[in-house]
Amino acid sequence: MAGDFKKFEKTGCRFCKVKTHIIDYKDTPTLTKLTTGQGKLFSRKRSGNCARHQRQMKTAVKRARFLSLMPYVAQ
Amino acid sequence: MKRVQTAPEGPRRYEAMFLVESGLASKDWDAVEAHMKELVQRSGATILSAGKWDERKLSFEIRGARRGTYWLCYFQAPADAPEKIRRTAVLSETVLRSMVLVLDRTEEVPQDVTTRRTTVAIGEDREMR
Repeated sequence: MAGDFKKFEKTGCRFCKVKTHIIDYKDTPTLTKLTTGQGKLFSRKRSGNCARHQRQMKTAVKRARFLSLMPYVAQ
Repeated sequence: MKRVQTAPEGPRRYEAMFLVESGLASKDWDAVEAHMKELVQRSGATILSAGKWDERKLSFEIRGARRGTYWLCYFQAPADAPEKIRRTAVLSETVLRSMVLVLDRTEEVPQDVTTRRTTVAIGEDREMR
């Protein structure tokens, strides 16, 4: 039935919502929320990020890992 | 549409982060900071603002160090400076890790380096230190 479909709320990119231009690699609390417990990056589907911010987030996490702010693989 | 590149205005600004072992940093921070400042300035850079960013447990051991002190520095320098800094930082025994990034032209240099840029507040409004 056409009328039975649930109306899903569009979940946009969380960074676009606050109009962020740059994702900082030093902001580890935010970046930690976008990684799994093991330390792997969430996919775009899971994080809800737009392509541009997902790319920025990826770079930020990799920078944070290099400086040992975040783990490559969590134990 | 063709993208028009504007000519760069003046020397570029950079952001550099250095990681030092906490034990060494707590023993004689002034000497360690002077060493890192010298390392940056030797390349012909002008330091705009610098200071201790944080002291924390490392996510993984680096050269046997479990805790680290981060020193953050914003500077203005000619284009060949970052490579010079990277090369000398790798040879330094004090510095465990270093990273030099180009600062966006639109970004302002914070005078207090301990203030962190809040990327986004997820869930609730977090106040960053």
